[in-house]
Amino acid sequence: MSERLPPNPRERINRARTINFSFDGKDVEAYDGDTIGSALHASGQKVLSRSFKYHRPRGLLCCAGQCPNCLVDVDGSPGVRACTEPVRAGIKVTHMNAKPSLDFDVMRATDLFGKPFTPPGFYYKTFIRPRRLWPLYEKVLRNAAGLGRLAKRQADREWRTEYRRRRADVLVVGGGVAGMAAALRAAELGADVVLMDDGPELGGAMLAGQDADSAKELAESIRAAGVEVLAPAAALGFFDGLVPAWQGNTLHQVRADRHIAATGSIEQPLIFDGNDLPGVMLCSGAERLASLYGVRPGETAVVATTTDRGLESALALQEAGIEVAGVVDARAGDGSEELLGALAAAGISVHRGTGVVKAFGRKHVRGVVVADLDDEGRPDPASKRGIDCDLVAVSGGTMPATSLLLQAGAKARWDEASGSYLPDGVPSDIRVAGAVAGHEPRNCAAKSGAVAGAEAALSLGLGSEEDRARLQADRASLLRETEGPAPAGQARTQDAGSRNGKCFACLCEDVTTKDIDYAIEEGFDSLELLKRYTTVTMGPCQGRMCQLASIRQMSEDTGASIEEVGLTTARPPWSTVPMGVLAGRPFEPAKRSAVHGRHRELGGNVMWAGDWRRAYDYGDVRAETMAVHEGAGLIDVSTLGKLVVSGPEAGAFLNLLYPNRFDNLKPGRIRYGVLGDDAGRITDDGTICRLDENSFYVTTTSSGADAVESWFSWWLAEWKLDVQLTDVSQGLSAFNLAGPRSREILSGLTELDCSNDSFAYLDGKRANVVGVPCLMLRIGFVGELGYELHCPGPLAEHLWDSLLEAGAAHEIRPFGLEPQRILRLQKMHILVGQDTDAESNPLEAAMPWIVKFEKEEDFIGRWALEAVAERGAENKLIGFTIENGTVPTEGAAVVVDGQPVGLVTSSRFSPKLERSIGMAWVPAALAEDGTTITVSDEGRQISAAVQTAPFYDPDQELLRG
Amino acid sequence: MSFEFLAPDAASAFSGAAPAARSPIEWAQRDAGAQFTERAGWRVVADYGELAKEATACRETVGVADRSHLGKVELQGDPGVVAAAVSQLARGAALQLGTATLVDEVWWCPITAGRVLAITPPEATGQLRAELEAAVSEGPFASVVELTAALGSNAVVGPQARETFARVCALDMRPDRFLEGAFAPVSVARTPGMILRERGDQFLHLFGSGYAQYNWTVFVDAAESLGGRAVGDETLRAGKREAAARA
Repeated sequence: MSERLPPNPRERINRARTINFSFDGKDVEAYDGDTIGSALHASGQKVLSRSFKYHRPRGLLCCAGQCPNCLVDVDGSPGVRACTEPVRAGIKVTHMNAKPSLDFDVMRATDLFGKPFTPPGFYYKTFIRPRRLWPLYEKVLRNAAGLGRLAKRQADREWRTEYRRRRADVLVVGGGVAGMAAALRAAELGADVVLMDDGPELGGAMLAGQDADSAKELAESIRAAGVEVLAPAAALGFFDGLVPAWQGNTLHQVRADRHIAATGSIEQPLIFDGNDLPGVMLCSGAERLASLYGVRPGETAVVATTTDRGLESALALQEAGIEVAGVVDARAGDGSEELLGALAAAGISVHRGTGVVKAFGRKHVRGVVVADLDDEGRPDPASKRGIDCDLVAVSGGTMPATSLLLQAGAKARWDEASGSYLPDGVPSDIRVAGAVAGHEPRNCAAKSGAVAGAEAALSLGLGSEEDRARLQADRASLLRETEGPAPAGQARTQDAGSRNGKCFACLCEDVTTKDIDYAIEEGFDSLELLKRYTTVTMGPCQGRMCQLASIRQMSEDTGASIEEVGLTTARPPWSTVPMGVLAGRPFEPAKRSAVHGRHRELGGNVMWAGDWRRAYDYGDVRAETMAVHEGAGLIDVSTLGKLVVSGPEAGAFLNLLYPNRFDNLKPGRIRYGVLGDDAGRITDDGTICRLDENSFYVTTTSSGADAVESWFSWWLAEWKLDVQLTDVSQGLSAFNLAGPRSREILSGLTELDCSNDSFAYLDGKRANVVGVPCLMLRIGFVGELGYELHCPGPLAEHLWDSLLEAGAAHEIRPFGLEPQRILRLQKMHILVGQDTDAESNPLEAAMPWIVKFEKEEDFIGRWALEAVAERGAENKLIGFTIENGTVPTEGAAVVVDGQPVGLVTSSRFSPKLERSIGMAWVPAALAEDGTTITVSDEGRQISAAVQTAPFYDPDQELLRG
Repeated sequence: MSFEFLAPDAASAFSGAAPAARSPIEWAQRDAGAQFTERAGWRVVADYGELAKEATACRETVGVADRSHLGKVELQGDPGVVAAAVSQLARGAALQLGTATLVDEVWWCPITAGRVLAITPPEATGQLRAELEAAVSEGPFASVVELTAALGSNAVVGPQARETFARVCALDMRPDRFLEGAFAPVSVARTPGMILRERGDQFLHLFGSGYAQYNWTVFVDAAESLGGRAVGDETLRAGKREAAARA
């Protein structure tokens, strides 16, 4: 705490409460309210990081979260800005990008000796030969570069993040005086206002100055007015009216009817040899450190500036107790007489028309070399002289923070008078206030904010005529205050000093002015190309510290005006943000059957099946399969899609959708249906049961339910039939009770006559089973006598339990998806999407019997299927058997003379048939019983015999019995 | 035209009492220590063993309660037929898209001009279904489909209810924009859903019952991060009584 200044009324710290944390394993004492950066600086730790490429020592620069100089790792999270991150007790802070230590970094050799090997784009030039070594080079380079490392264990990288959506009438981005004034005025007029700011406390630049108290009062006023304040919450971008902001573990997604950009301006660094040394700070950074945290940024300061901002800063630093050895002002004649008088009165010498040529020191500034500048800003070597100091406070003017506005569709216009890019062509739902609009002086910024707030609120229909009149008056007043010549000292903001030595244009990516010269000489003479080649503006500061500098240099080098050079495209994120925050809370919507809990209790291996969680098996596929053949099995098929189609024209509607007939289906009967598209291709299948004259119960595949519902709805809207459609998929549970003893089990649980005469194959009956109302479909997807029981989900557990209980005497077993797949394959029942693809039609997929060309009315795909019928099948879906038990991989090729001609779609070993069975697409010529086909599977050639009839119960005797 | 195999209240006695209807997430509620009670043929969570804390959550932060037992019946047909039927049963109420109407404890929620979802206390589901069928039995065809089982529902109650929804949904639920009775089909936690503002800070979220466990997990987790918790039916009923007394 040796570097603390005497207490001041603006400071955020509580000197009565100390907090301890560690930095690189050493204990550090901080005050409550400190940031990690301020505490480390106060403890004497001036080097906080090493630079990206040259591993040069870096220390605090902006103290506002704008630059890359203080990135550290906090408790395993890399890339944290120490200058804004509050200290918390016990946190473990470590440096990044330095080995073996921050003090001694062997990679510093790249700075001392590596320059000839590391020009812009060096990884494309230096490390390309021999080419085979590139993977090695890449590994080494990636290891050497980078700004931090993630924890190795997944668990250590996980943290809870979530989205929060917020609608608002007005969103104000920026919590400085302009933003607060805007928010207050809009709220006063009745608007629902959200204000977001990236700092922990509203007030912006005011907080570190004499107006700190009024900033706090204004902040209290806006909260009292009902404004929701999000701080610290950095706005990340502008996405068609949606502005996301990161705050802690929350990503706010604010969508407002009106937006006010009060994003302020960013103080620019100066370019000279050694401008990255620890001890070189922005004037605003040095002031913030002294004022807000009571930390002495240095003992003796030299202030280098191109505007009056530096003159103000020199006075502020001296008032804080820092000796100011001199002000180096690049301007020869400009400058506020009032400020110059105050400096003279304070005994601070001002070197007019002078610039810093070099800052020297090994790990920290020990002094600067200054020189007189000629009319073009070049230093006169004969005038060089040194000034001892340990702090160089620099101010190269300001740059309006227009990035969010540009993302929103605004343009940027170079304003010669202020020497900055100002927003232009701003979209009508956005207002601009304060420094970003060029309204920099504080009284002017407050008025600018009030005008923007009133405009936003009034444009929403809020406020009164009186408020409109007041707005007119405020506008006129604002215009008067911003008219006329720019404030003295703002007109000339070009960089001072020379470009000898290492003058950094971009601190994030270690891009020097020489690198930019070099790139331009190589032909990268547009700003966008320069950016991509040198990576200038592409680092964590996103151009805040380097864009204007690179534009100016390109302008000087190419002779193009600054306006002609232009800006690079502004892209989100405007502020750095952890990827986890963007990802948000993981949502994995899963549908579960009403008896999902029972499957877990029964030891079901649950897996994804479409968007459902289903039991794949219960641990013994073979036993489950054989139970269905020998006794009874019970499977939960609640995942099936289920639609109620009703209305006087329901039958006609289904006739148009399916290639077979449904209007002649009798109530209480069931028919299989295959859905196709316009091209006759199979899209889904299922059973249709006619419930009564006007109503049908349609089932679909599990994964096709939503698509079929959409397909039906789409055609219903097109055909305008008197039909209603309701999706009841998730309301009805369905269990398939199958096996030779299933009738016996069922008969004991219902009063319905389940005899074959009364309840025949393809009958649909409605009756209560163990008191549960059911629709019972006598169908047989798995090839044995079976009943599909559809019942309300809330009663399903009772039905499931009762069936298993009653079936216990009949050796019933629950069976899962995998046994079902074996059983259905034995019957050659297709799985849409597995045995069919985007080219499959029913004529070729072994189902020509389902296409009723004799139907009078048209049906979807008729024309295409007629064309197939006319030309004849080219390929056919067939079954095959393999005697030696080999099970080919699904997807394996069917080959003729070594050339692929088809593929295997399904294959399993059948425990009942004791051989391998499968289905495959083959050329029509091979689709004859007994033909031998060859399957090529991962180098094996497997012979298989074609079979066109089902492998099991081909005459359907078991199903019908 | 309504089909009994869709209706939980069509259960009958078979060698004992009629089976009770269960929420699609009853197994998860059992794991969470729920105490059950029977209500109109349903097993309903009375509480999670901490009634006082549950009441506090609803009063000060947010409570999430499973209300899958509410009756839901869909009427679908020609807009004129639907409007006439609703008007007949809802004492002349005229429906307006975006707004549900509460008449005699039945919420009439228009989904489209020709499609209305009626939400009723579980005791009245069968009667409502019968009345709807009677109302459309003459004239042009209209379908009445029982959807109690198809739609799960959660009540989200308390001053942080909107914040809970804000974690999973982009709907503008500000009090002056989403008024009492407002009803909106909307995506919630990346699944299709509907939200009804029943009164004050009490919202009803409806969703496909297959997603019941997913939605329950998502909402309870979001509520807990805001200081809230899962609550039982007793707490909701007490809140309703308090609201009635205040009114």
